[in-house]
Amino acid sequence: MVGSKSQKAFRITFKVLIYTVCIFLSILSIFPFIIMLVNATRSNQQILSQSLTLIPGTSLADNFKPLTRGTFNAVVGFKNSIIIAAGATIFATYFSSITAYALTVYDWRLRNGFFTFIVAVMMLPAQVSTIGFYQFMYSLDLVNNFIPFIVPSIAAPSIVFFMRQYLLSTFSVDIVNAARIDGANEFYTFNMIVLPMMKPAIAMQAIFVFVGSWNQLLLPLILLTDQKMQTMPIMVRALNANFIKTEYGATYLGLTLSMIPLFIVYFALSKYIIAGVQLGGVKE
Amino acid sequence: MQRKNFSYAKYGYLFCIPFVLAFLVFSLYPLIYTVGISFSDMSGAMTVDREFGIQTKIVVDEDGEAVLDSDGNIVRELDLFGNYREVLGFQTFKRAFNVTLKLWIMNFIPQILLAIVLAAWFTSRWTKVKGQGLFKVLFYMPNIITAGSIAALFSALFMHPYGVVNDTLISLGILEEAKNWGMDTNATQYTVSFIQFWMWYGYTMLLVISGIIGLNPQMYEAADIDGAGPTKQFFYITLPSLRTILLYIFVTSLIGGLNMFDIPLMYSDGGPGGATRTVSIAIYQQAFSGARRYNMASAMSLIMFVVIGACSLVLFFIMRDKDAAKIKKMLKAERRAMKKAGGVH
Repeated sequence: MVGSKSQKAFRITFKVLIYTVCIFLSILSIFPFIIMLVNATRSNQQILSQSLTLIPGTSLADNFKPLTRGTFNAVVGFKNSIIIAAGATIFATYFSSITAYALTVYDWRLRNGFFTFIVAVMMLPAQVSTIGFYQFMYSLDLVNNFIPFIVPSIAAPSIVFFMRQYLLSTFSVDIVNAARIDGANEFYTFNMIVLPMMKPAIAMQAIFVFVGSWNQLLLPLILLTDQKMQTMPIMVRALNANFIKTEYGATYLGLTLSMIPLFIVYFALSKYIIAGVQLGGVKE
Repeated sequence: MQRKNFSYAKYGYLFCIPFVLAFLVFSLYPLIYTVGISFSDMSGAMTVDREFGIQTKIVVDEDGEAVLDSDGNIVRELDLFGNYREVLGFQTFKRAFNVTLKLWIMNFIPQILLAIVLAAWFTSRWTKVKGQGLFKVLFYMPNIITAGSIAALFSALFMHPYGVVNDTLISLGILEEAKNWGMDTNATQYTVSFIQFWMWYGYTMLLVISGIIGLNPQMYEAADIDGAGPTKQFFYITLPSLRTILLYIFVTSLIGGLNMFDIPLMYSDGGPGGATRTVSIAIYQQAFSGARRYNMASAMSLIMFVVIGACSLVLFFIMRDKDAAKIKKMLKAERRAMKKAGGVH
């Protein structure tokens, strides 16, 4: 199997092709964001005369001013988005863990039926019942309230599915039995012994729930009409409608602000995120 | 031992109660409510004391004229499926459905092809690609970022007349004067599909890679002995073995595609002239702008629900089979372990 000269040449050409494509795609991935970051620091005048450059300007503070009042209020949007995303994350991960625990450790009659049910409803998108959800929340007077964004995440079938797989592959019932002999009650055992052991799975799912919640557009758009309650993506929509034709720098800065937490989360945790996608393939 | 097991079973039910309650209240009830609205006459602005009933229609006589009762009022009769009939004959809905499928196909085909090619390169045993970790991180990155913000960013880049795209194309000599991209039907559809493609090919690639890594290496050893080269091995071993994961990608992407909302809304507001008005945007516009026809929007949602439900059903059977096989394997291992332990039972 000694490679001939032509084979070697072919292999090198092939490698060049692979790296060219990969580098091109990498640039394609970051380029729009770089333009956005650069233009967020430039003044209207600069952007109008030359919109494509890699040299940052000095107008960051000036661009921020229009974003502190009116329809795009970065501080308020940030606060609201964080409350909703953090609340949804805590509810979804905790209750999915305890449901998955019930599905793996206890032997109850409806267990298999319940699991089949979870798999069946996993892929159904919530979007189809949006109108009913809206009318229901309206009748409960929960418009402009964070509850519709946080409490429903208690029932997250795809996370239960993932957590169950995790428990099945890593967890041994012996630990529970040992705790029982020591006289621990079941709820205590779950909270103090099992939950800490599930940390890696919880962390992984937490990232996806947080990001998914932060990125939501449709529900906040119809349920959060009061400007004081709006999340970042809704403010971006207002930005899109109001500023885009006049305040170019502020538009780019507003977009940047709506993405910053996601960039931080992603680049700090990309290793786990990529591993998580490859593990579960949970599409939210 | 057995008695103990018995008494613990109640915790199984107990720990599932929050999930079940939340599901019933926030998922099932809204769904049933949506079904109810789809048969009703609920439209117009909301007021607290408004009452809604089943959809009705005007009774007409043989000449097509409205029948009047003795007081001279127009007679109406119940028309349970009136909204559905209207939606199915509704030009906007048909167009939106076609647009949705078109936008999905235009992004899915290049997406899956590129994902498979990249996955084949990254897992190749002949050509080790260095810097894979970084490439994966960069290719997947757009998927994490808010779709709405990305679409808004692209609409800023494609701005008329002083956007980045126009400036670049003019300075390269490709365009003579600034083009108003937002008015061009095809350009807008391509751009929306491109954004979708750009956000999702990295994700799809990661799934294909994990599928390839999970394949049995013995198959390749056998192929090596038979003298099959990389290309042959890819087409005759790798691709056929990826059937399940490719089907999973196809179905989940189709479901996501049928619900496409954020990008066409934020990039072009469904325009120009409905060229990117997906079904979800049409539903949103029916219910939350203008006439506020919640009943029509609900009927549209439920038609989509049936379509998506059919897709999910396919996926459900694939996943269930896989899971059943896993459980069987586990039970076997358990029995073996018990035998080894010397039959404690």
